Amino acid sequence: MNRYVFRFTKTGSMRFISHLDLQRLFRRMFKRLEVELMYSKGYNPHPKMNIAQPLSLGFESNSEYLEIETEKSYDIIDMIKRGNEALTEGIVLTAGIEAVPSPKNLSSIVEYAEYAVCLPTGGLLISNEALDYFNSQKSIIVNKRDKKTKKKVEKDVKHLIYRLTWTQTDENELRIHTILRAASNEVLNPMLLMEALCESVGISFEQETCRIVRTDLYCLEDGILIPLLDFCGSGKEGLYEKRKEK
Amino acid sequence: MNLEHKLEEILMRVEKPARYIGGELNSIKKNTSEELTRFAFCFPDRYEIGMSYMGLQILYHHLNRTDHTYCERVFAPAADMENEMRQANLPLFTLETKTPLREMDIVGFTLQYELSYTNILNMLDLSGIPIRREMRDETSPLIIAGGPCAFNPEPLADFLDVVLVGDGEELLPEICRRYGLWKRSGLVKEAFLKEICTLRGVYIPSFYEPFYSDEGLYAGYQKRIHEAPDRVLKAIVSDIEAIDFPVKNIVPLIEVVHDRAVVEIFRGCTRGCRFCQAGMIYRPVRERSKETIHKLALEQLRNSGHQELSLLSLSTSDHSEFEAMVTALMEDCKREQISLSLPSLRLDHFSFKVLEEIQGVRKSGLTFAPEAGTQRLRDVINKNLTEEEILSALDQAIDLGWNSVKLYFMIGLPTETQEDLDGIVDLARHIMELAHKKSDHNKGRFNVTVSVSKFVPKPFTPFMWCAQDTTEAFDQKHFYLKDRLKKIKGVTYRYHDSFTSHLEAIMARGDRRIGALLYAAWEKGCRFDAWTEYFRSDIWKALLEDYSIGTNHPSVSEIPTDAPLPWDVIDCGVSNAFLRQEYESALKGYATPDCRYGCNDCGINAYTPCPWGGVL
Ligand code: SF4
Repeated sequence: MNRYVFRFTKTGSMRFISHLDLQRLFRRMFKRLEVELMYSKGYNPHPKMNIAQPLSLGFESNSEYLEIETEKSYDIIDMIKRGNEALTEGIVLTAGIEAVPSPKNLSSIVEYAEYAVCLPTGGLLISNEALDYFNSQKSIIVNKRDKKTKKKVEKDVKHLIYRLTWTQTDENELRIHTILRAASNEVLNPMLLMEALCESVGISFEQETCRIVRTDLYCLEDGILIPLLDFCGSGKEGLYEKRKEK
Repeated sequence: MNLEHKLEEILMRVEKPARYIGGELNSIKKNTSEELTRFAFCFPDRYEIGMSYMGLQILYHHLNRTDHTYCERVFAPAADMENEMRQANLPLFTLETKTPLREMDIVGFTLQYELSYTNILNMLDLSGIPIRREMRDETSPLIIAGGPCAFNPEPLADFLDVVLVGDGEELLPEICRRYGLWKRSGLVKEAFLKEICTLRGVYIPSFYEPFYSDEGLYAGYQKRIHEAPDRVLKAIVSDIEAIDFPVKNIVPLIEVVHDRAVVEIFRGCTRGCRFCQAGMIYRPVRERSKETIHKLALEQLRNSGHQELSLLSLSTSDHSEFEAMVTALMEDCKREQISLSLPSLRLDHFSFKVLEEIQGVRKSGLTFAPEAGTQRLRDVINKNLTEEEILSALDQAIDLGWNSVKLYFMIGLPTETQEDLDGIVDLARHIMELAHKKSDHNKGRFNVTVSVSKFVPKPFTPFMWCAQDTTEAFDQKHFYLKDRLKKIKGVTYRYHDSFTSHLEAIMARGDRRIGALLYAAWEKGCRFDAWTEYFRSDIWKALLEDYSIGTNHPSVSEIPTDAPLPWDVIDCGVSNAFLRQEYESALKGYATPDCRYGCNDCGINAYTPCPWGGVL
C-alpha cells in the first residue's frame, strides 16, 4: 500500500466551493490521471482520499492537505504536474510527499491552524492598548451558534488561542496573524474571534468584508508546532515544491 | 467599487455561491478583443439545471472553436442572488469574464420549456437591457433565441430580435461571424437583420406583422419587408456524423442534476407518437456511427474525469447498431469503473441482459411509458406498446430480481374516456397480480409507481388542433385515479399540478398577444414558474382573468384544422398535410407504423435526405 500527501491552495473564487465539491474535484482529477485509489470495504465503498480539515466556505488557503492511498505506486512529481493541468485556477498542488502509511489519517493529527486576516477598520486607527487589552483578558468570549438549538451562546475561547498578533499599516485595515485550535474535537473559527475583537476595540464587524486566509495546518510534537507536510514525511526528502507560475 | 469586488461581498451571503463564479475545468478563457463577437449563452433557469443540458455544451463548443466568436455562459440567478444584485445595483454578468450582459454583442436564450419564459424577461431586466424590443436602440445587444420552443416563437416575439429555428451547430456560428463583419461596417441594425433573414432557420419577428379577425382570433400575418421569406424553414444539419461533437466538456464544480459524460447517439425519431413534439420537429433521424460514439465517449471521459456515461437520444434502442455499440461500451465502462446509464430503453431480451450487466445487484430505473391506459387510446396516440409486451417484460424483470417499476401516463389525451382511465388502474393491478403470482421468486415487496402527467397540445404535432382539458376536468380525473389506485396495495401514485400544464398550453400555442401577459406576470413578480416553490398561481390566475384568457381561448380550446395558426410562419419541414392526415387517423383509431417499416411521407425528405423509410 502507498500513501501520498499533497499540499494545495484554495484561492480566488475557488473559496466559494464547498468541502464536498472539493472532494469531487480531486476524485475526478485522480480519475483523469489514471491514479487508482484504494476503496474501503463494505456495501458502499468509497475511495481512500481525505482532506485534512474542512475549510469554511469563503476562506482562502495557501496550505490545505490531501492524502490518498493506492495499491500501485506512482511518481509524486508526475502526479503534481499532471494534476495541476486537470485542476482549475485557484486550486493548485504546491507540494507532495510519499508518506509512511499510517493508521491515523491527517484529520486526526491536526492540532492547530494558522490564519492571516484582513479586517477593514473603516478609517479608524486602533490603538495598541485597545488590542493589548483584548488579548490580555482572562477570558475571551465569543458568540457561538449552538448546532442543535441554533441559539447564540457565549463561550470562552481563550484557551483555544495559541497566538494573536497584529499590525496596522494604514487607517483602513488591520492585519491579524493568529494560530487557533483546530483539532477534530475542538475548533475555533477565526470569524468568531474577529467578531469579538471588533466589538472589543469598537469597530463594526461584517463577515463579507473580513478576508481570511488559512496559511498552514500544524500538529504538535513535544509542544512544538510542526507543519503537517513536514510531519508526514520524516525529513524533507521527496518534497517537491512547485515553482510559482507567472 | 467595481463589479468583481461587489460580487465577492455578495457571494459571501448567498446560497451556493459557486453557481456564480465560473472557472470550471474546460471552461474557455479568451483574450477579449474588439474583433471578437461576444456571445452570451443564457439558460433561463438555475446553474444546476442549465449545466446538465447537453445543448449548451454543444453550442459552447461550436462557437468557441471559431476564432471570430467568444461564447460565455449566464444562468438565472436564484431569488436570494437576485435581491442582492438589485440592492447593490450589480448587473447580470457572464461567468467566464464577468462582463455585464449589456456590454455583450449578442445575448442568446435557449428555449427549453415554456415555464422559463418569465426568467428571460427577468434576466434582461437584471442586465439593464430594455425588455421590449421597441424600447431598445442601436447600442443594445442583439437579443436572440433558439431551441424546441422556438418553433412557436410568437409569445416571445415582442422581446426578441432574432429567432433561430432548428439545428444550431452551423447556423449560430454563421450568425456570429456575420455579426462581426456587420459590426465593423458601421451600418444600422436593421441592415444586419435584412442580411441574415434569408438564411435558413432565421426568423425576424419585426419583419412580420400578425393580424386578427373581428372576433379577435389570429387570422394570419403580413410581411413588412419583401426580402423576408414567406415562411421560415428550420435549419437542418444533414449529417451529424460529419460535424464536431464536444469532447472537452465543462465540468461543474458544484453538484448539478446530471454530472456525467454524454454522447448524443442520434437526433430525431421514426416512431411518430402523435402527442410528441420532439418526434416531429427533430426529423429526420440522423445517426452517429457506433465507432464515433465510442471514440467520443472515451475522449469525454478522459477529459472530464466523470464516473458516469449516458447516451442521449429520443429512443436509445432504436440506434441501428445498438447492440454492438452497447456491448463495446459496456466492456470499457466495466474496466474503467464507469457507470453506464441508458435512458429510454425498449425492454427486450437484449436490454435485460445489458441492465443485468450494468446495474448488477442494485436494480433501479425500470420504466415504461404506455402513456395511455387502453390499446384503443394507445392506437389513437400511436404509442406502439401493448399490455402483453409490458407484462412479459415484467415477467422477466421479476425473475431477474427487479422489485419496482415506474409507469408513465398522460391524461386528457384526445378521445379519452373513463374506460381509458380505468385502463390505467387495470394495468397497475395486472402488474401487481403478476408480481404476487411470482412471489416465491421474489421475496421482497413489489412496487409500482404510476406517474401521471397532463396532455399539452404542442405546435407541429398531429394533436396541435386539439383542446386541452380544463383544470377542473384534470382534477376530476386525478381524483378518480387517486381513489382507485390507492386501493391497490403496493401502488404509489404521482401527479403534478394541473394549472401549470394549462399555462404551458397557453404559452405553447399562444400568439403574439401572449407577450403582454408574460410581461405583466413578470412585472408582478413571477419567476421560476417551473419550480413549485416559486410558482405564483394566484398572480397567474388573476392575470388570466384580466386578459380574458378562459377555457374558450384558442390556445386551450379546439382549433379548426383549416384555421390559420400563430406558428404558420415557421416551417418545421414536416408537412401540414401529413399532420392533418395523422390527426384524422388518430380520430379513427388507426395506428401509423414506424417509418422503418415504410416511409409515411411526412415531407421532411423534400429538404434533406431521409434514408429510413422501410429499412426494417
Ligand atoms: S421522410 Fe418518410 S421515413 Fe423519413 S421521417 Fe418522414 S415519414 Fe419517416
